[in-house]
Amino acid sequence: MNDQVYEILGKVFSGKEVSGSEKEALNKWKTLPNNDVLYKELEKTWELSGEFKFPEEPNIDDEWNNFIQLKNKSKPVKKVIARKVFLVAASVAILIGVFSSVFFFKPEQEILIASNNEVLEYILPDNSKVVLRENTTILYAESFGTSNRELFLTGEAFFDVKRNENLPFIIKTTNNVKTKVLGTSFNLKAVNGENAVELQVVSGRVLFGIENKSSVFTRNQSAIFNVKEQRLIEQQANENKMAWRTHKLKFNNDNLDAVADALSSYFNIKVVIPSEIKTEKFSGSFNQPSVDDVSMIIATTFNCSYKVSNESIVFAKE
Amino acid sequence: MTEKDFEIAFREYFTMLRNMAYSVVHDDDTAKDMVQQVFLNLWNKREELVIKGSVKSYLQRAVINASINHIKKIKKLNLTDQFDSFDVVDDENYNENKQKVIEAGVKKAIEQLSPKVRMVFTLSRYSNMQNKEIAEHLGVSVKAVEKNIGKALKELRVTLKPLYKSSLLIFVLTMVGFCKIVMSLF
Repeated sequence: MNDQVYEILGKVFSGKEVSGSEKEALNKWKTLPNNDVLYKELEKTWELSGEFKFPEEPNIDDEWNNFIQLKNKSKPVKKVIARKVFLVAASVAILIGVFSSVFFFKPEQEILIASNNEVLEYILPDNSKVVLRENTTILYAESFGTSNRELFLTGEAFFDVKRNENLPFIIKTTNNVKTKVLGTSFNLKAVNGENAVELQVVSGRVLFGIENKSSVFTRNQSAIFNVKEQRLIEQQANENKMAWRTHKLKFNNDNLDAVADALSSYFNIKVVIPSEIKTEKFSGSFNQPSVDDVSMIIATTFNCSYKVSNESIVFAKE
Repeated sequence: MTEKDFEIAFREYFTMLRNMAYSVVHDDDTAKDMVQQVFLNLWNKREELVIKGSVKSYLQRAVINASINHIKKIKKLNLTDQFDSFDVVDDENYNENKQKVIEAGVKKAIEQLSPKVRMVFTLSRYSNMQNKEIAEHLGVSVKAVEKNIGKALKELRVTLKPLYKSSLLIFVLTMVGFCKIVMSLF
């Protein structure tokens, strides 16, 4: 009986016709104790549910253009896409390329920012700040900041995102890993050819993962998405991951092989530690470290020799 | 179907179909992609396809099927699509605007309904579709549609209760504003 009342009320509230017997059942129900209060609440519920809004109406011209592109892409016929490339050299280290993809509808330009051998700081059109590590690129459309805030990252970068609730800031990387934020700062690493995308959050909230496997991470949290296994792994935050930007390395009773990993990532070289001392603990902090200084200190601490070359630091036990 | 007819249908029905897909998947991007895909299928098959009845109802059916498949896929993986409700979860500006709070609360309450109840309720309440049409597309009876709407009402009463108060406040504020306007006329 009870559930039938809800069904009848649904019809009444939406202005549909109810039969005589239904009307009767409803009136009978209303006379029962407390049901008048319940009725008022349900009426209010129905009214409140009217506050639901569909997302903003799609722009049909944009959607039609998207469709034209989709349609042409799905054609099995080979198509030569002509690309006009303008290159603007802003400094020796900065190359800003403006690509204009030529479609027969409304050509939208894509902007490519590439850091070559230097760390590059760049302000995006929405005033968000991005710091690109060496050999990193970001690519975004001309419409970035007006109708969307989406960009594509290859490499490693630190983002300080301006808050804008209407336009979520979305970073796409290879293998469909998406990072979505409203306004926060974080470090993201998605190097081509590597099997993982790494996130470290400095402030705010970040949604990270692929379409159906994602999680929200907050301040001082860190996560890795393993592309091969399609797995999202939460891990301990580690400030050394941002050393490329802060130039600070800090170790606090860390295993020597973890120290080796941090050095390898910071200096971009291979670090070899003899297996017998891999689990030894090391503490110490470095400001603007150089390969030689760090190697010497570690070698002295553990009483071993070391050899530095362009590609590696090799420690050896005598 | 000529290219011109196709474009007319696209422009005419896109928003309606997006709303339908959104009613089920509750994510704007997913909904739009889905509708694009449905149109692409229609385009690729436009020569051999014989549509019984109207193009509109063919498209509606295709969108509903695509949405249901999407939901099934998510369910199979036993994962909820967190990209959906993320905007609502953001609590930093929760008190910024009462109306926003209510809209977000209603959105969230609807998302919490079970997929079937949610789909039927959203389609019926917000998408200008008759219960009879919904029943036909879903292959169920009109009675089953009405039952699901009743279920939604029952569940929403509980989840929306915390919002009664704040909406009352807005009502009072609106009335005060209204009275002031009326008074200023005299």
